[in-house]
Amino acid sequence: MIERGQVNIKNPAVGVGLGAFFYLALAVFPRQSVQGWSEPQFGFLKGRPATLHKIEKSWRPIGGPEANSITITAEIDPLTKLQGLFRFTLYDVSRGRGWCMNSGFGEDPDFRFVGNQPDFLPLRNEDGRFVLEGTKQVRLASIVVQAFDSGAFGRLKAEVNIDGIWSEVPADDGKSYITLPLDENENHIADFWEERWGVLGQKAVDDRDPEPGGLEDGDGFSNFEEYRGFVMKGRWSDTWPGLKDVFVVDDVGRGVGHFTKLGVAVHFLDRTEVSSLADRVVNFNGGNASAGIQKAIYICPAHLPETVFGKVEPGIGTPNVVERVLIDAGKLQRSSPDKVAWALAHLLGHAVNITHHGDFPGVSECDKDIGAVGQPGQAHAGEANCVMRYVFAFPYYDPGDGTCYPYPIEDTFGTDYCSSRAGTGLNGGPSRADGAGNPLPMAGAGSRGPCRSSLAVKGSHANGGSNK
Amino acid sequence: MNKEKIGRWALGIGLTGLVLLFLLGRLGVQKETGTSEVIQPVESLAAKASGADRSSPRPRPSPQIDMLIYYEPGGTETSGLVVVSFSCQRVRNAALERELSNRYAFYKTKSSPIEPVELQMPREEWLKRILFSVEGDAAAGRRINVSYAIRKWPGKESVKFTAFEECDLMIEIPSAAKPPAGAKLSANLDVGVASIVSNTITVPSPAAGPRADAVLACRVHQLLEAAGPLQDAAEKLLATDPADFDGYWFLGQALEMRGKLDAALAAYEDALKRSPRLVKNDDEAPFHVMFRLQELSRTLAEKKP
Repeated sequence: MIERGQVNIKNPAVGVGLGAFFYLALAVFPRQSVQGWSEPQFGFLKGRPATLHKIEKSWRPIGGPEANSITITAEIDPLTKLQGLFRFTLYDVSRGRGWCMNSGFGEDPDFRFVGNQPDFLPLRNEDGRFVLEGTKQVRLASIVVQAFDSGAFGRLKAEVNIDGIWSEVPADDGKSYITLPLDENENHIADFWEERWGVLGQKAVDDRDPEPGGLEDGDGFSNFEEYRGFVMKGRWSDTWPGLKDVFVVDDVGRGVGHFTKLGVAVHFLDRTEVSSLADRVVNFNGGNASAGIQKAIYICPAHLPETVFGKVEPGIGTPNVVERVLIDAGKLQRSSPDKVAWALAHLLGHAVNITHHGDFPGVSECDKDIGAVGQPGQAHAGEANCVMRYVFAFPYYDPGDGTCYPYPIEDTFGTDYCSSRAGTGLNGGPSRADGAGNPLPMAGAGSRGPCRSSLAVKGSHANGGSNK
Repeated sequence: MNKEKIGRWALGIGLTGLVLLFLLGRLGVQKETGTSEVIQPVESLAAKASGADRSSPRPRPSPQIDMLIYYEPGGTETSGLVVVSFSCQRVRNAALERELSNRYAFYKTKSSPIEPVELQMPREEWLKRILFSVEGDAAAGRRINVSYAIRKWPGKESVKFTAFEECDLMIEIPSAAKPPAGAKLSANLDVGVASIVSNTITVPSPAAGPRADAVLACRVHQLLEAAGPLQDAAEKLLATDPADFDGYWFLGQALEMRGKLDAALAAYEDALKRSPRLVKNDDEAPFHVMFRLQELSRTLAEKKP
């Protein structure tokens, strides 16, 4: 027996059909919403005569060419049938330099009311507090706030004049103001962004980026700086605070080769998107919640001696230490793509603190004693496919029998970074001879690394080690 | 209406809705993927000069395509060479982001569509539309000379810049028309709707002494793959210093270009014996010499019966 308020569905098709119908209805006719409205209309007043509504949680400010705005609403309880004059005050507004970490200049307020809003007096500036006052008795008032900075933050309060008496309009949560953007922990980062990237509960100044692993967490950019974002080749974007970011100014134009295999987030910048090519500071508009200055890697064309394909100056270290990655562009012109991809990854590895697998000690027993002799534990040792391992040793030296051997011919450029010092390929496996009768393995395990453990992008690490 | 009828109606509406949602989703996907952004000259230079088409948009700086120049000054008696590389680093950024989204599951929401940039320009237009300027003359767009020649072309009239595609031009500048040392050299490519501006490089000082002069000459000959002049210049270099690494290296290159592989191998071995001693951990070994040695050894071994 079916009672009132119950539905008895015997046919499964009916259930499926109804489900699909409601799904469709929700998709096509979503809940009516007003931008700036975060609560359902029912019960939002909670006994108060008027309420200032919190803004939409998913809204964040964006400055620059794609600057956005937000509509904010305050209203009187319809049950009171009252009307009043509304006054909105924008205060404690940030004044970050520029409009993101590496673009714009000037330190004007990062939020402002949109001018000439209907039914409002002209905007007043009262000691840095922007005031917008209505001219018309209304039950509901909406104003528009324009963002001028992707890291903008501020507070907004509302007052209402009913029957000649001004009174404060509390926010939905009872506070006397709302934050722009919605930021309940008031660390100046929109809450939704912190939730989305798993950093809610961290400080704005924290710099923890755990991925990919390496010598330490962090990439030199604080959570706030990653949230405020960067202009990269003319386009603004925020970055993920869980992933190490490496910025590159590339004046050679051959990209970064296998460097991306490290798993760091590589971003190309224009020359104008760093402080200068000499300084290379990426977060030059920093100030609020900064983790310190962080520099880009500059790939620079150069004339180098014919013995050298490329080099880092002044030596191996983090991007803050390496002033330039010099690449002989003339040699690039005559190189195969696999060689270029290897060389770029090798040199850029040095620019994130990764060393060779060992040194280049000379071997007096070898006729061609040029310091590039393949030998156990040195530069040619370790994982065969690692881009930091030196290839094509000529010759190689076996300390076991004190003999110099021509290098095994079959060698190829590495394509990745090693996770272990162990020798693989021609450097690993059981003792054996190659086709020409030369003993293998050639150079065994490396004496430095593994490369992925040396990775460091912030601070002043040098030569694979810890901070100077 | 009985329950069965209601069920059939609801099922019908629901299924129709699902089909609609699917179609809407497809539309959304197509919109995201987009097509390539095409840049092509919208007016000829002659028309522009005569002011025939004043409604055309003014050239504006464009960040979409990167033009990077590199200058080989050459020896005192040889030509100079400007290598102009075109790429699109903005597209590379998008591709790198996609790579991250493939690597890290949590990064999916950051992925954005990749929009290749296509530059369509007839071969003859490349030479006409590239202007070199030295510092101070940029506003006038004065050509530094009129006699340079393109030695290497993009190869096709339409270059689509994807994440990993680039193209190079090589422009030879006769020795009499070379820019002076210390000049700031840059290039500007006018493609009508956009003006692509290169990096600025400083023209290096003249070679100090005959050895350096010969090395610079060798570098240009090598890039132009001019085997004869390269061998002559390398031999000249070795005449000044018989133990010169560079001399043997360039000689090896010239001999390899001429197909004299045994002689080239010997030259490379001589070069390697004379390469500088490595001292620091961050010194770089001459792996390109070793690479050639291995390649030639392999080729010769394969040729032997």
